[in-house]
Amino acid sequence: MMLRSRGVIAAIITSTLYVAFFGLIEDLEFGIGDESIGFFDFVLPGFAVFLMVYQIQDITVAVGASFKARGILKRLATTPLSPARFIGVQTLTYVGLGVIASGLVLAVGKLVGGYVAMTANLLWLVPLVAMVALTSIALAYVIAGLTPNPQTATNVGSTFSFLMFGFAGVMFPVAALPGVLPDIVPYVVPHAAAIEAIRGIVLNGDAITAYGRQVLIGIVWLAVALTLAPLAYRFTDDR
Amino acid sequence: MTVISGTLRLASASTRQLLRSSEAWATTLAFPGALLAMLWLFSELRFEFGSQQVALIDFWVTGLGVLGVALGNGHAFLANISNWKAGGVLKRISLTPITAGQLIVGEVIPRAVLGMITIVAFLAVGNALGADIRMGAELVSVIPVMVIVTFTGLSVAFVIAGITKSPQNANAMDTAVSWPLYLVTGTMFPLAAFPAWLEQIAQFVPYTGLIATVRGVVLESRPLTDFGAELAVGVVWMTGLLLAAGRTYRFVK
Repeated sequence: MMLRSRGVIAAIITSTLYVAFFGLIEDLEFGIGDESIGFFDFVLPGFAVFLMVYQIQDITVAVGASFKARGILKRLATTPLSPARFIGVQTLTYVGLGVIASGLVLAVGKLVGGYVAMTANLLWLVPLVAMVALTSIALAYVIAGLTPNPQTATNVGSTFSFLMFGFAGVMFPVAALPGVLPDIVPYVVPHAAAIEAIRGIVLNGDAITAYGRQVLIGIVWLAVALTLAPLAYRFTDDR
Repeated sequence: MTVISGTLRLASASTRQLLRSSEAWATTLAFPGALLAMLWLFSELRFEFGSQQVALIDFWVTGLGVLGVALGNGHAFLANISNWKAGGVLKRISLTPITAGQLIVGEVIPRAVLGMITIVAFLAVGNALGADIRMGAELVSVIPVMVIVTFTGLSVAFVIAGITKSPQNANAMDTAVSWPLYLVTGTMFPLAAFPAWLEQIAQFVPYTGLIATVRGVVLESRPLTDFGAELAVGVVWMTGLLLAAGRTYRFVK
């Protein structure tokens, strides 16, 4: 069903096209103080993860809010298939898709001139991207659960994604933020720490062990999101 | 009731409806506000290309101020007019003393005014947050450019609503049309950083010249007369799209 979904297909195609387009940017750097950072190399790892994850989150918010508005899970609760299992299977499918699509975006980015350190450490991206995707989906259910209708859910989801885009180190270097924010952001913004680790592995070929703190923060965010999701998004009325 | 007073009463009703719409507030206040706050926090960041450099806040406030607000306004407008078409509202209106043309003009007036106010307010707040935007005569002199931007956006909405069969398809097509515009019009990234062939083609894309004009005037205090070619391309697009809008969006079947 997911592979036949126009939204999912559009998500994969647009993510790939964006990165291919960024590859056309030949001569652009970010300047912070006296430092310069190559634009495309900086944004490629973040976009490889975020573009796909954002779109999966967007789809999940829309689907979750729609299920809630139409009472689908309540009706499903009367069948042998439990809503929890239904959502779990759907989530795992999206996580798998997110990992594959992120790999595709990264590969296209490399083909159009982006730098990717081709080391065995790239395999660490699989669990890291899966962690980011799972966190996003769980947060999407939190949004769908806490909002009164699908329209509001979509607006809140878009705003949340926009803030992630700005502050998780996807597009702009967190180091460019003023004052103590660069020290605080990796802890308080979901995905920021994980994207830092992903960028280090992609650009420097670093081992995952160099990013113990970032992975730990990512796991804490995942745990928080997984805890909040079932509290906010009620599968049935009698819970 | 004359045609003019009737149209003005409709415009007044549309304005009240617009001011009560949460989507209008989101596109004109919440999203631009969040964007400005983000740019303020990243005000130390700059783009460097060739031997040039520009502060991110200057570049994005002017680029997104023009395109983001225009497209956001057009997007909200599109939702209305595609629903009118799908629901047969204009056909039913044609049986009343109000003409479909009056209804459309009554809707366009507040949208156009709101769009232009938002763009000017966006530039003014950007200035207050540290963007190097001239707030004097320069801001007044770009108002005609804002008019072209706003009417181009509203015309695109009419064309899309006219050629699509449902509000869902209209929304999808609008998104498909909008995103490439963000990338190739110099809104977010300097065109000078792209290959020469793409930079040349981009000059003929709607909004590219208008964004360059607004930037040149409010960031560099250059006169509008420096941007004759850019404005000509903008006017040609606006005229073409207004004509296409009239042909594709039929008031009655």
